This record gives sequence, structure tokens and C-alpha cells, in this order.
Amino acid sequence: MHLLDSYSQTFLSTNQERSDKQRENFKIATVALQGNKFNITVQNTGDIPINITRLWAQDKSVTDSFGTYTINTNVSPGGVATNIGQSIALNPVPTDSYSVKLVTSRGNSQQFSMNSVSTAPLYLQFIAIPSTVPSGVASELVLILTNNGSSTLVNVVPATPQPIAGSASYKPLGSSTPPSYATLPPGQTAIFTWNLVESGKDGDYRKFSASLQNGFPGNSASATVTVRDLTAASSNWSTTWGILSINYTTLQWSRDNGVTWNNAWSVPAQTSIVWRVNITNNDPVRSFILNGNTTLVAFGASPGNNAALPFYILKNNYPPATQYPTNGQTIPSNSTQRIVFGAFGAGSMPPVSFSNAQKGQYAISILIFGYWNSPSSGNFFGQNIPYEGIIVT
Amino acid sequence: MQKLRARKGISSVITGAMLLSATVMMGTGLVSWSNTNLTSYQTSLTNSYSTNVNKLNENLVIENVWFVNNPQSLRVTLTNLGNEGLNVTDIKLQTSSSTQDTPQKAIIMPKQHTDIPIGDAINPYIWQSKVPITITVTTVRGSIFTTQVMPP
Repeated sequence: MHLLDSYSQTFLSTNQERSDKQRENFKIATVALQGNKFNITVQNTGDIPINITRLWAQDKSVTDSFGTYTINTNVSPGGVATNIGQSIALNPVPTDSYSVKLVTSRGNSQQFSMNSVSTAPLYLQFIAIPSTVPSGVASELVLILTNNGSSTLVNVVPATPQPIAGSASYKPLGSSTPPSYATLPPGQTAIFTWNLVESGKDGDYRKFSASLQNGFPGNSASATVTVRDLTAASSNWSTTWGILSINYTTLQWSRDNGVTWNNAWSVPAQTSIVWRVNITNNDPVRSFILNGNTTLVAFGASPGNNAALPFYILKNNYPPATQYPTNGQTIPSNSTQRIVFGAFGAGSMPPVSFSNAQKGQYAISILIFGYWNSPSSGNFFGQNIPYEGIIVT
Repeated sequence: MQKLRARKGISSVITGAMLLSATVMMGTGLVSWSNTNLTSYQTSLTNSYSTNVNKLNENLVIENVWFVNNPQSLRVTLTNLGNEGLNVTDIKLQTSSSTQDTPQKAIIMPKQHTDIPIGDAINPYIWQSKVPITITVTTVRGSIFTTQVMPP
């Protein structure tokens, strides 16, 4: 009887151990490289405590490089153990591939792989948003990378996109946003972006190629950004509106050689009028050089009044009134300057005045002519900025 | 007549004594025989119990298998999770096309693990990529532990 009792106790005990082993359940929640160490988070998804005893790691990029490391971390049911791998003498090389296995005291294990991006080609997409831009207007290059493998990728760092075709000039690309992904689990997507400011003549383009640092040879994608000039032709005023703009509240006039400046919309007739207004060059890169044909024009808006009275640009040292050269005042990129109008012709001097017969309502429009970067660039630009209303009394 | 009656009385006594002696002898022999049998049975039962309980208590895990490239071979890590020492006597490697027995003498103490190389520079074990291998470990008590692995 004693033997039978002892046997049954042993049987029950063994059975219990095997049952516990089957009830044990855990998963590897996250894996990252931190401080040149693995940082593994394990979640106990079972209903009994587990003890992570050992970590097995194989550097698959090096022939027969194996290692076993003691972990000895307890995880309660439903609990999470973090920073596994931070205190062991394993310093993974970011460019290598690893096979890692965690083993519990009951003999269960979970395994995962960490691959370098150099292991296999990845699905890369490289796009420009927008792909056609006015010269000097920013666009965005976007690199989309999907981990189409079955193991976690580590240290995903994009290389700076390189120009491979085209002649459009561009500002050097900075680092991507974000600069890198420490890990990229299977099926996940990483997105990197660069700001691109490209300039050139209409039709100029640049084709860029994007790849990953230490990536699989030949694993790249390309995108093209084309420059399209926006001109002030009547058919596309709306598309050009905004490159040069005015602050309407800064439009002022003077009848006494700049001693007094008025904002009122009531402008007297029979006296020389000089106008001034702040014009902003919204181009982020290029400066704008005004041409002497730049004009403030008052269009008659009263019934029967078809007058169009031009006030040509003066030099911006008014007063005194100084003739405007053929090309002159420069508005730097992303900046604002005061422009003065009052000459009766291009390169001429004041006065310009409304006659008594011309009294009535007017719509003021500013016709801007000039060049991007320099008059010799051949990069002409014209724009109309409507409208400010006045009444000539 | 009286002499004849006296001889008949002696004869009865002798017969009774003989019967008694025979009975005692037979009884002694029977007791002795059964005692020997019982002892033998008890010994056998004890041995059987020990063997079975020890076998039942064996708890071995094939914790990890490394595929070595140079020389092509395996490193099988076995962990004794039980409370008794065990002796691995054989590791059998079986694929769809081959079977290889590798006799072992690996004693693993309780809660300890050991690496057992299968193959070396002289006699490599040629594993083939993506061809699964069934590993069967046998102990001296006859316990069998098995797993399947896939070479990279």
C-alpha cells in the first residue's frame, strides 16, 4: 500500500508539472536596440508565473557566432518584464542579423529574428508631393518602407536622396524626419520625409534616388520633381496670386511730398499724388528685382468713367522724388519692402494727378514687373495685385 | 491374543508419528517456499517501482539546437528540468531521407543543461537547409524526448 501511495503521489506530481508547462504562455511584446543592447519586453499571457531563464542569440551575419546568456527574470501572470537584454554581455551589431530565443524554467521558449536591412530587398516607395512645383516653392520627398519580411528589422536609417538626373537646382537636403527607426516589426511601415526646395526654369527637373544606409545592394526607389513657372498671364492670375502680395492696410497716399501720409479712401483731385504700399515677396528662396514698368493704376469705376491713370514706380527714398531706373529695387526672399508710386511714366518723375473731370470711384490695381534672382537670369515675372478702392473728390 | 493386541497398539502410534512428521515437514517446506517467493516478489516490486517512478520523474527538454556551418554539425542543448539526474544514451536524427543514431553517454544533473555536439570535422553531420530534422533523445531509463527543428 505504501508503494502504491508513493507511486500515485509521484504520478500526480509529474502530471501537475506537465500541466503547468502547458499552461505557461508568454509572448515577446516589443524588441528594440537601445544603447547597443537588446531591449526586449516580455508579456506573461498565461495564468501562472514564469521565469525567463536564458537568452540564446545567434549572429547570423557571422559564421557560427552563438551565445547563451542568463536572464533569470520572473514575470507574474498578466505582467510585463522590460529591459530584458540590457544587462547581459551581448552587444548586437546594428548591421548584423540575429536569431534570438528566450527560454523559461519549464522549458518553453519564444523565438524571434532581427534582421539588418541589408539582408534582403525591401519594398520601397519614393514619391514627391507635389511632383510639380513653381520654382522656389517647397515640396516634400517621401520614402515609404514596408517590412515585407518575417523578422523584425533593426536600425532602419535612410540615406540622403541623391540626384541621379536633371538640372534643376535645389537646396541641400537635410536629415530626414524622423532620422531613423530603431526597429520595424514585420508588416509595419516606416515613413521618412525630406523638405525639398527646387528652382530653375520652367521644365527643369531633378530625379532623386532614395535608399537605406547599409541597405540591400540595388534596393532603391526614385522620384522626380519638375519646375513649372507660374506667369501672370490673365488666364492664370489666380494661380500666381500670393507669390507677391501686399498688405492692403499699408496703402497710403500723400499730397505734400511725403510730409503727411493718408489711409483715407478719399483722394483729392487737382493735386500731385504719391502712393506707397508694402509688398511682400513670399518666395522662400529667390529675391525679386522690380522693373521700372511696375505701376499702380487707378481704373475708373464710376459710370462713364473709363480712365486708367497710371502712377509709375519711384525710387524708394521718397522724398525726394527720384527717377526709378530700368531695374532696381530688390525685395529679398520672404521679406517685405515699401514701394513708392508717383511718376507719370517709366523712369520718370511726378506729378500725376486726377483732374476734376476724373472725379469719382476708382479701383486701384498694382501691376508688378520684374525678375527672379537677377535681371540677367532671364526669369521674368509679372503679376497683378488687385484691388483697393478710392474715391477721387 | 494379548501379544497380537499389543503389537496393534504400537503400530498405530508409529503410524501417527509418521503422519505427524510428514505433516510438519511438508508444512515447514511450504512456509519456507512461500516466504522465499514473497521476498522475491517484494524485491521485484520495489525494483519495478523505483524504475517506473524514476522514469516518470525524468523531465528533459531539448532547449536549443544550433546549426554549425564549419564543420557542418549540430549542437544540441539538453536541459534536465527534473529532480533526478539522467543519462542520455542515444540521440537519433531523422529526416525524410536519412536516419542517424549517435550513441551518447551524457549524464545531466538536475536543473543543469549540457551541449552535445553531433558531428565534427572528421565526421560532420550534413544538414540541409530547410529540410526538417526530427531529434529523438533516449535516456538509460528508456524515456524518449523528441522535437523537430528546421535548418536555416
